[in-house]
Amino acid sequence: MATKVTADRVVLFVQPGGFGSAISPMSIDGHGFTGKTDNTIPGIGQVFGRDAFGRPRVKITFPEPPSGLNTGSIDFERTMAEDFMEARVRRLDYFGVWEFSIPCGLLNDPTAWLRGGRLDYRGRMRVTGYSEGDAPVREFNGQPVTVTIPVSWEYNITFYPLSLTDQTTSETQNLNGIDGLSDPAECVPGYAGPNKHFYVVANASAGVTANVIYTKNGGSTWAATSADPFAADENISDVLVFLTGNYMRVLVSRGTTDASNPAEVAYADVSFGDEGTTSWTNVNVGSTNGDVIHRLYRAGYSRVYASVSGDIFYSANQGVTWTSLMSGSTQINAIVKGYGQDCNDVWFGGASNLLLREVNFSGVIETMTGPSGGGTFYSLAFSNSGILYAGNGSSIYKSINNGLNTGGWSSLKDFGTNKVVRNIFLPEGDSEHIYVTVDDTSGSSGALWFSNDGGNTFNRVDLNTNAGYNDAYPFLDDPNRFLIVGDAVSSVAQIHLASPSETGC
Amino acid sequence: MLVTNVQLSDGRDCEVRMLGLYALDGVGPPLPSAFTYRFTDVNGREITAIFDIYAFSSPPSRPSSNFSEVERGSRQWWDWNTYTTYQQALLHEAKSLEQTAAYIKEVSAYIIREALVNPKDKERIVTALDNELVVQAAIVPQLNAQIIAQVLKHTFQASFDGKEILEAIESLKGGSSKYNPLAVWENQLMVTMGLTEMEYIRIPLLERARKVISMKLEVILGALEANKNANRL
Repeated sequence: MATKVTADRVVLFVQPGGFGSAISPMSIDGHGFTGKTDNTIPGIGQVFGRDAFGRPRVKITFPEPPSGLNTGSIDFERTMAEDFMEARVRRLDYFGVWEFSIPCGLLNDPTAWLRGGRLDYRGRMRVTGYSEGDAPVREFNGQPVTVTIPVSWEYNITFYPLSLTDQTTSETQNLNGIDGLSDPAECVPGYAGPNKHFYVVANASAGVTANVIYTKNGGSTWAATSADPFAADENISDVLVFLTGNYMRVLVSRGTTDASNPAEVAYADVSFGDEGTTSWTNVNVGSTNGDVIHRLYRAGYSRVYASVSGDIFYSANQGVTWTSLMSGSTQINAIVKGYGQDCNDVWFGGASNLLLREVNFSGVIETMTGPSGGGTFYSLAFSNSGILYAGNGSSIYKSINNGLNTGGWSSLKDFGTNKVVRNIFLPEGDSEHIYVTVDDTSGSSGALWFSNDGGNTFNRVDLNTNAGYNDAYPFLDDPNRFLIVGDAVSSVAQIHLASPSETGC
Repeated sequence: MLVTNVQLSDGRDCEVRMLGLYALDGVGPPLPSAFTYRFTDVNGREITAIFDIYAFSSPPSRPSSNFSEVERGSRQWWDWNTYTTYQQALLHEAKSLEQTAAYIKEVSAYIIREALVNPKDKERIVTALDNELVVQAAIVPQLNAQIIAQVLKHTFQASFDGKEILEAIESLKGGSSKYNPLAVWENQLMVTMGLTEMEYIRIPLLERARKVISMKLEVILGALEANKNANRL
């Protein structure tokens, strides 16, 4: 049973050194945080009509625009030195507030919430006023002078301690890629909403075709689709899943060389209610025999990218036809779009410290600069503040100037030799919260690491023994859920669910 | 002097005199305080916090890492901090229990020594129940917040802005002075009534509570109203 949160066990932490620096407690009895209200939730409007008897009936309901941002007040007793909050008034800068609920342990311990507590993070906060308590007063009065600072912030993210659990599947091969349906479309018949439908692609066992396995209940049960997309002994390297009209399109790529054929994708338009029936349409990507596809990436409703050996191709019609964007010789493993709907830059990372950028879907490719000693990139990500993250065969880095030069890069965490950074996730795109899946190419267990202070420190979710992780999918409306796929253990494919842990104090 | 008869386990009465209102002040060793730890907040203020070992459903395990090798500020480092603080708090709690037991023993011995009308009755106090009966008869019932709250609610039907009075008082920002308000109010009441302590303790507990409240209620409500008006301004 979850422990009740009491006000005396809630502590505010802030970052005195700015984003990405260590967090520090903002007292436990000198500061209060009151009147917290989330005004970002849309209301519901309605239009009334009349029924046959003249009685009012709701004819139409519709969402109304939210009334504003999150608001509240931070109050504290003024001291002789400038308070952290007074400095925010002076600078009018953005900052974050960590609200830890700590059921047991030290109140100044920024990791104590991991023992069954919670972290309510207030993101992109700014002060919006300043009100001082009365002083001096005519009567003899030894009361503290209370300062009240109204604040407003853009979003809340709640984090819980996570644990990894096995998902059951009868698949026997290594799993290479996972994607899920996250579109919020409510008008597609049979679509039950995001985070229910996932497709995972596997290697082929000897003499047999590689499977695509799926779930329609968020991962509780898995099964193989009715048909496999490629020929025997051909592994499937990656998968994308997205809505197309009233169907779900599953787009997969071949990861095994075919000396007689070019790189190849296959897609199947699947009906809701019949998610396991797949009829594949195979499409060549490019014309060079022996090419393989390492990564697929969806950058918009119709725009899909494929890294093909050293080349880049894109499709403007959800994978039906493909156009060459760039010819090269360096393998590309990671593709990501800049953060937000307004940014149409697409980034590519690969071997030999390769970092490329396509500006604004223009087809123009620029070569950017990776970190010193960057090696081979396997993952890329962007924060909502424009910070670029890159993962290679051992470490995660960040660039504060869009890969302009090596000086803008810094290493956040070296996970060690053979520790390949497969995925980098930032809930809400916030740069303070970084979740990383790390493979172990020596065959030891892969891991899920996380930082809640912009990479200043990293912690690891308790291991669930495996043979290495290859890909992961973050539940987009739930920052506390990830599905991670990896290499088989004793001929059992590994699918792990990261979700809120039941254990605590 | 108020004397009560209690029946001990031998079936015979024992006369016990009620001690003064503050007779136990200074008796026995000081009671232990909670185990605290200190840290510095972001503004450089020294914060003292209570470490509650009973918040843990089970004791934290000794970390498997080597403390000299863990990175400062890492989770392992904090696990070590929590573990060692827990051990210190556990030791403090064990000593506190001993000190509390010593306090109870000394207070009990004081009461037996001072409250028995016939000192020889000391030999007749044999069972734990005998001891408890004598102690209960000797101690003046103390006013506390619960009794005050009960009387405020049931006798005076008092509230402020829909809240219980004691809850409303918590919203008043205090200064730096510390004292026991109930002890002060009772003394003020004794002075007003012209009673000695021995005369005052004869008044039943609830009646004492009603008298204290009737004397102080208007002052309390005035402070609450003034605070509310100050906040409104």
